[in-house]
Amino acid sequence: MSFRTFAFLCWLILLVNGCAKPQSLYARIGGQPVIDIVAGNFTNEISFSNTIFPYFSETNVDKFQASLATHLCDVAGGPCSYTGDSMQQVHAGMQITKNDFNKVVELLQIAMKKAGVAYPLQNELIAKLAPMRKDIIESKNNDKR
Amino acid sequence: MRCSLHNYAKRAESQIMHWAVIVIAGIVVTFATSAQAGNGKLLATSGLHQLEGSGGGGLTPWATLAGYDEEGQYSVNLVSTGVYVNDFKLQVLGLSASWSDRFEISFARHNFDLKTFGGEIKQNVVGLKARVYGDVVYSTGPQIAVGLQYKRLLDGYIASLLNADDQQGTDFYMSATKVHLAALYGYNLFWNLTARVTKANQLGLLGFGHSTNNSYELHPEISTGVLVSPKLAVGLEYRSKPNFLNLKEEDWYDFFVAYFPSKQVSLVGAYSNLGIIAGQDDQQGLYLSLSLALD
Repeated sequence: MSFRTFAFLCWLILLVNGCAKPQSLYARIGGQPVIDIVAGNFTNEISFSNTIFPYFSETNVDKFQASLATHLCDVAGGPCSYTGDSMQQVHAGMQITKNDFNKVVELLQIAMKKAGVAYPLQNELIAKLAPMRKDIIESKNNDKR
Repeated sequence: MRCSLHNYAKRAESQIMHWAVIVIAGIVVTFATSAQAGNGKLLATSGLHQLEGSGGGGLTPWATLAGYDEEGQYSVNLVSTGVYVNDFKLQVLGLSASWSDRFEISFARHNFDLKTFGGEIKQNVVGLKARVYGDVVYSTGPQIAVGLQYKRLLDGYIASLLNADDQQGTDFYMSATKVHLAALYGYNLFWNLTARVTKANQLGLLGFGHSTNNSYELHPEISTGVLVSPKLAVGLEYRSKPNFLNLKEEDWYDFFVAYFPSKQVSLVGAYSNLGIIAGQDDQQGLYLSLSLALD
């Protein structure tokens, strides 16, 4: 194969790859059925957690689960748009610490694992949620890092 | 006079070491009653313990503090590390404490077995570290920490034989560490950059500086790796080193696999290449480390 042919093939591969629409995280996770299982598992995990459950003592569980499923669908690039309260509004005054936040991340990891979401996809979803942390936690010395 | 000065120095030194251990014990007693044991960080994000006892990778201190403490928590860790290369064996026993993911104090004892030459060199290291910015996972920029490692040989005979300038020295460093979530095909990627100023010959085991040159040198240290599963990390490290003694001291490399079965235990196996040590070339071999949380 001449260098010219090789270069052409490379260009072709790049073109095809570039043009093929990359599948959304939502699609790769398995769409709404899997998102719904994750939201259900996550709600269960929260109800079993002594540290996190108290924050949800006045929460309507069904409403929360539905709202979460929509939010996850939206964040993962699915065909939903979350129109609920902002993360700042939802968590205002709850004094959520960095420990609590990480605990919730751990519960979400368990929820995704139990739903059969592969580890790299779990990471991708957490990466999309991570920027919300600054709107959720409340640090004693305002060190939100 | 010289003798009494020497004794005085010995006493002062053992006092420093005792203080380090007392401070760590004090942290346990104080925080055990008022604060939670450390479990607030995500698995593996505490990092490991490096050769001089500080939180880090294996060869290099990182900006991470070696415990799972988050705000309002404390942690205490015991670490045992062995490096087995052709002509030498280094054993490290360390104790560290950190609190609120803000400060770390560490104590380490080096036992350096000169298998080929015969004999042993012992050294104590006290480390201090403070996180000054960021969160290793969540902040936009990297987590940044500054630290120092005060080292003192218990017996400076070999160091003085090699014309080292001193039997004690302090390294100062600044580290930047960052985890990039899902950055590599969905896997979490991490890196660390450390700038260290040092006079230490082979960690200080061969003394500090040279009788003709005892000025600090700046050396970079680099680590990078991937979390291949929630409990398993693999990575590479590089540590630049000075060559005060003109014994062709070389830079260090390693390739490591770290296993985090829980927040109480971490295990590291590495292939390390330590180059030429005290004129003996090709010092490569196994690095093994076990850390246990005591809090």
